[in-house]
Amino acid sequence: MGKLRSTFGRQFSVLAFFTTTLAFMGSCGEPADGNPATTNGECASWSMQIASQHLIGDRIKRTKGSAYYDAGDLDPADEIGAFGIEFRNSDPLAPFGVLSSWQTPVPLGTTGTYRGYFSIQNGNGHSWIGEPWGEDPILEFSLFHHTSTYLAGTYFGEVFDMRTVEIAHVAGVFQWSSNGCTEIRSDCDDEFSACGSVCDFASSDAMEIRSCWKTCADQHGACAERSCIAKENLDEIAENFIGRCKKGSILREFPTQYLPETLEKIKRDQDAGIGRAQTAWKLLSDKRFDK
Amino acid sequence: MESRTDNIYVVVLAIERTFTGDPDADSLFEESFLLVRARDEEHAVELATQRVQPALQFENQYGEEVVWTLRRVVDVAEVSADPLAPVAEIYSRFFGDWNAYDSLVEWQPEDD
Repeated sequence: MGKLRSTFGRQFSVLAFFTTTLAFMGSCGEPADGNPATTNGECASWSMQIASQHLIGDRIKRTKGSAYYDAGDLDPADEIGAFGIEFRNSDPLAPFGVLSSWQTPVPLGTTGTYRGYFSIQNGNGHSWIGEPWGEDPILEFSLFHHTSTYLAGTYFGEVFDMRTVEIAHVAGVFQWSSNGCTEIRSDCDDEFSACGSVCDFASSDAMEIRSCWKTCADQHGACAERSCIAKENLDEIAENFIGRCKKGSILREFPTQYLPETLEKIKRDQDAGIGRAQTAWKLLSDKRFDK
Repeated sequence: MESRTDNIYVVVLAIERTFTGDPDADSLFEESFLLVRARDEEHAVELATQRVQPALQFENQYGEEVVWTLRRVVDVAEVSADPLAPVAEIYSRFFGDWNAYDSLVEWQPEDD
C-alpha cells in the first residue's frame, strides 16, 4: 500500500513530464509512417504483457515509431540527457499505444539497463503509466541493440493503472528502425508471439513475468546476433534473410517462388542444377547486395 | 577413336539481366567463371554455354519477367595446374586499364 501511495503521489510529476515530452517530440515534426510496404521512414514493432493482457504493436498495419534525444533541456537542472522512444498506431480506431520513454546519463549507442518512463493505452480508454524517478527503479529497460538507426530491447517492472488506481506489472520487447519496416527483424516477431503465449500462463507476479520475458529477450538477442552468411542460416526463410541482411534492390532480381522457401531448400535446388535456385543462391551469397 | 575429355578449362561468360517490358531498367551483368572438363577449347565453350542457353526466365515479386541471357563468351583458358591442389591458379589475365577494372570490382547495387 505504501508503494501504491508513493506511486500515486508521483503521477503528477510523471504526467507533467509526459506532456513536456509530447510537446518536445511534436516540435521535431511528425515521423514518417512505418508501412510494411515501404522501405523508408520509421517503423516499430512491440509486444507486451500488461495486467494479463497481451498487446502486440505489429498487428496494426500502420505503426508509427519515433526516437528522440534530448540533451538535457527537458529539465536543465538535472543536466541529464533523455533518450526516448515512442511507438504509436496512427489509425485512431485501432488499439492505440504509446511506449515512451527512458532516461539515461550514458551516451547514445550504449547498451545497458536504464530506468524508464512508460505510458500505454489499450484502445478502450484503459491506460497505464510508469516513471523512472523515485527511490525504487520500478520500471527498467534493457537495450541489447542501440545504434542511430536501430533499437531493440526489453522492459519490465511496475506501472500505475489509471483506471483501477492499482499497481500493475508489465514486461515486453520492442524494436525500432529509422530505415523502414524491412529493417524490423520479422523472424523475431515470431519469437515475440511465441514468448507472448508463454507469458499468457505467467501469473501477475513481476518476477515470474520478468523471467518469462528474459527468456524471450535471450531468444531475441540470439536472433539479433545471427550472421548474414547464407550457408550459416539454412533454416531461415529467404524473405526474412533478405529483410535482415540484404539491400532492398535484391528483391527485383530475386525469383519470387523462392522468397517463402528456406535457404536450405534453395541450396538443395541449386545443387540439383535448377537455374532459378542457382541465381537465388548467388544473390543471397553475393556481398555486394549486403546492407 | 573416342575423344579425350580430361582436359580442364576455365570458360568466362558475361551474362546480362533484362526485364521484359522495361528496357530502361538499370543494367545488371554477371561474370561467371566455369570450370569445364572437355576435349578442347571449342568443346569447353560448347559445354559452358549450354549452361546458360536457353535464357533463364523467372518472375520477381513485382510480377516482372526477369531474363538472363548470354552476352558474350569472354575467354577460355586451359587449366595447367591441378585444380584440386591446396593452392592452384586456375585463371589469370592481364589488363592495362586500372580505372576500368576498379569500377568493375567496386560496383555496388542501389539500396532501395
